[in-house]
Amino acid sequence: MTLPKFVDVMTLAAVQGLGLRARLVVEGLFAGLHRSPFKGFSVEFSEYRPYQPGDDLRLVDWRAFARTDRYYVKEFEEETNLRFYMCVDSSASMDYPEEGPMTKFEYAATLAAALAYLALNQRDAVGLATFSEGVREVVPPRSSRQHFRAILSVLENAAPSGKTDLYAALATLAERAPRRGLFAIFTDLWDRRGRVLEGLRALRGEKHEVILFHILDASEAAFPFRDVASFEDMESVEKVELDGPRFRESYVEALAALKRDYRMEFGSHDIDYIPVVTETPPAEVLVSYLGRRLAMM
Amino acid sequence: MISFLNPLYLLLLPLAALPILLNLVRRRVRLRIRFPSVQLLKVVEERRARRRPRWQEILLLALRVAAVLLLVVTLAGPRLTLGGAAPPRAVVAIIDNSPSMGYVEEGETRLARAVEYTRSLSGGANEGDLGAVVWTGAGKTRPEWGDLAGAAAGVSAGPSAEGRLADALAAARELYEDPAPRGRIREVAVFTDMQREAFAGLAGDGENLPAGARVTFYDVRSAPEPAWNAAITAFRVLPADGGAYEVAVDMRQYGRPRPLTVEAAGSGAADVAAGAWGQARFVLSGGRRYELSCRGGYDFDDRVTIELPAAEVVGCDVAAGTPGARAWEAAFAAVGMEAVAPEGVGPPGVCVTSLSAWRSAGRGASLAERGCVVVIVPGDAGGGRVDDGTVVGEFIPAPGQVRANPSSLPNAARAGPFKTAGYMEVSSSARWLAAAAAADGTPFVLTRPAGKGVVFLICVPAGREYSDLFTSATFVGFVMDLSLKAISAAHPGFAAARSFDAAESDPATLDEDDVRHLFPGAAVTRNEPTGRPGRSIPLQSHAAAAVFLVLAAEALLASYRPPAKA
Repeated sequence: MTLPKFVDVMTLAAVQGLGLRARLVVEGLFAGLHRSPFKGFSVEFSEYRPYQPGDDLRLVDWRAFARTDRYYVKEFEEETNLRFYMCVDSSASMDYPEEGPMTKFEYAATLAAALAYLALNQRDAVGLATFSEGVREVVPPRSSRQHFRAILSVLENAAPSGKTDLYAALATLAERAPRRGLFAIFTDLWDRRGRVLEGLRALRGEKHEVILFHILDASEAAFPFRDVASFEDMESVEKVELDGPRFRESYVEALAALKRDYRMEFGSHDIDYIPVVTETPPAEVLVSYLGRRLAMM
Repeated sequence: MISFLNPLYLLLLPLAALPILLNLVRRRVRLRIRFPSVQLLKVVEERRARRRPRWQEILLLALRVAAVLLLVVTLAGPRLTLGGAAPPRAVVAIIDNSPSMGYVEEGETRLARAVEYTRSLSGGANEGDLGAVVWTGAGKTRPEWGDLAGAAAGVSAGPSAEGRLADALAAARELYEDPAPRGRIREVAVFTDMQREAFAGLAGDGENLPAGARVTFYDVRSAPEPAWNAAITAFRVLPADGGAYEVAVDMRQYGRPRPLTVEAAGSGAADVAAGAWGQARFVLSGGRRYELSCRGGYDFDDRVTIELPAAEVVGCDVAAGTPGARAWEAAFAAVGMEAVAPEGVGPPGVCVTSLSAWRSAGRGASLAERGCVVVIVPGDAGGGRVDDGTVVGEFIPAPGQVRANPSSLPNAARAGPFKTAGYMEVSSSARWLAAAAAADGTPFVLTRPAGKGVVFLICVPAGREYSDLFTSATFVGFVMDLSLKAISAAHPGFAAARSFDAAESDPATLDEDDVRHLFPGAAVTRNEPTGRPGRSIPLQSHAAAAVFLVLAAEALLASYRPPAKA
């Protein structure tokens, strides 16, 4: 199979509007995937409501009319076997880099939107939550296509700020999610390791499936800084002075070890861990992941 | 006290601050970067700091500073002068400006180097130090005392002229008779290329030196002539069984004696035990020529060729002008005898030969005619020995006694060549006189004039069967003493000896031993003067070695990574 040619990050960043960006990603995605990784949907009766002019007469429940002498219209609810919760980290650290084609948040939002678009196309119910120290915005899961606009609206209007507290956010979301679902978390994981694991355990405790996209900027991954610089934390007042070239090797080693630890830790909890560097086209990330997922099904 | 040959280089010392400055510049923050997580950076930095503690960074910096400092100090040429502060001095600098000083070595004349050395005397001059410069070729010009720093710094090379060190030393003696240098330390610095001619006319034993002066000879040659340090002084050949000969080779060593090996080319070698004097013996077949050589880790080039006849006893054969003769010359020092001949150092007019060579080939006769002293040593005949430094004669022939009373020979000698009539030609008609006698009055050395010179006949045969006297240091000393007495100023041969061709027999230059023998207590050095009294130790090579050590330590420390803690 030849790999599809994805829209690269620079091109994607130039595209105005998250919706279009998501569609572009998904187009690439369809070129790479030939069937959906997610299961289909069914329709189930939900409730009666009084007939209103304009309602389709085929939906009128004539039995209810015979019993009550009133017109009732049957309402059905689309039921999917999947509730997709997109959880996007909108802490201050996601607003990095301050100069560049795309911040980590924008990248995460693109990924989330593309995934939402894909899921909604399959009539899966998709919800969205943004979080930092806690849950900031929530869009409940819906499967209608119009719901995509609501998701985009939240993502487009979110401004990254505040500290990261994965536990606080994920525990809250775990409590709020009434049914078992799939949580796709987009974060840079710059939180205390214990809090990260506790938050994810809270989700897994509720039997939710979890996919974690660990999003790092290229400069975070490779630490290409020259000279001695003062590094100031984006979420606190902490700072440290470092000689970039001398520090690079140690940093890259430490980051690799951190990722290795997370992979092991998440693996033991059946959490899919997908480290992503924002240089990689989002579609490539999704194809790679979804391809793996398809193979496992 | 530390002094420097090139103190201008010390101006580079501020360069030692370079590693510190570089470190500061490198550590200066140039950027402020907002970074997502300083937390990980801090953790990594702490881990790095644990791996390379702060003290290690400081030590690295200190080593780098030390390396630069040592490099600058090395360039400046440090010297350690022991002795500390000294009272005022009165320094006479004698510059040898003989024609040989015009010889160019390494791009400059020896005279230029001597002048340069003289100028460096000003480097350590203190206020109150007096100085005077005397040129060996200055004739009767009387130098004057002046400020040492000024006098030394003002020296410039003049034309060369024939002159003698003896005259210059006389001028120095006169200078010290002035009232000006009284109460000051007297120092004489002689800058010379050690040519023998310049030393002519010196009496030795320091007689020519100014009283109470400390004398240092600065050898300005770029490299000294190779010094002899071992020599074959003599050999004797004795008949052995089966037509072979047993060859006894006598060795003389200079300096610290070491084991030697004497080789007879193609016929084996024999070891000589360490010692100032030594002997090797080996058996060689007759009718052949052998080249005797000596090896033992020396810079040695002493070769003697012997030709063994079919059946004839050959006595000792040490001729003037050979390295062996030079060994005899050194023997003067060993026995504490005066070693100064009228025309230079050593016995230029002494020829030691065997009786058989004297008789058959006339060896030494022409030298005697020219005024030399010829010492004739008999071969394998007669008897005599030295017992605790005293000569005891079992039989020592006196004039006319040989023929008159052959029965007085010991039994062993009676069977030898001594029985041959006229063998020693000792007769009253030959005007032989007893020059030395044993304790019991028996004549030991006979002497008679020969031409302008004098001949000594040693009446002690040397041979395995009779005596080892000939090879002993006592005997050598004795012969030397005798020779020197013979060529003393009172002897008629004195004037004639001056015409002896020294170039054929002696090296043209003196070595340190020669100078020390002439001027006991004088120092001889090839180093430039430091300007202060006391022992001067050059530290440049030490400093250079320290630079390498420090750099090696820096490299090791920089590459060292302590094992990370779990």
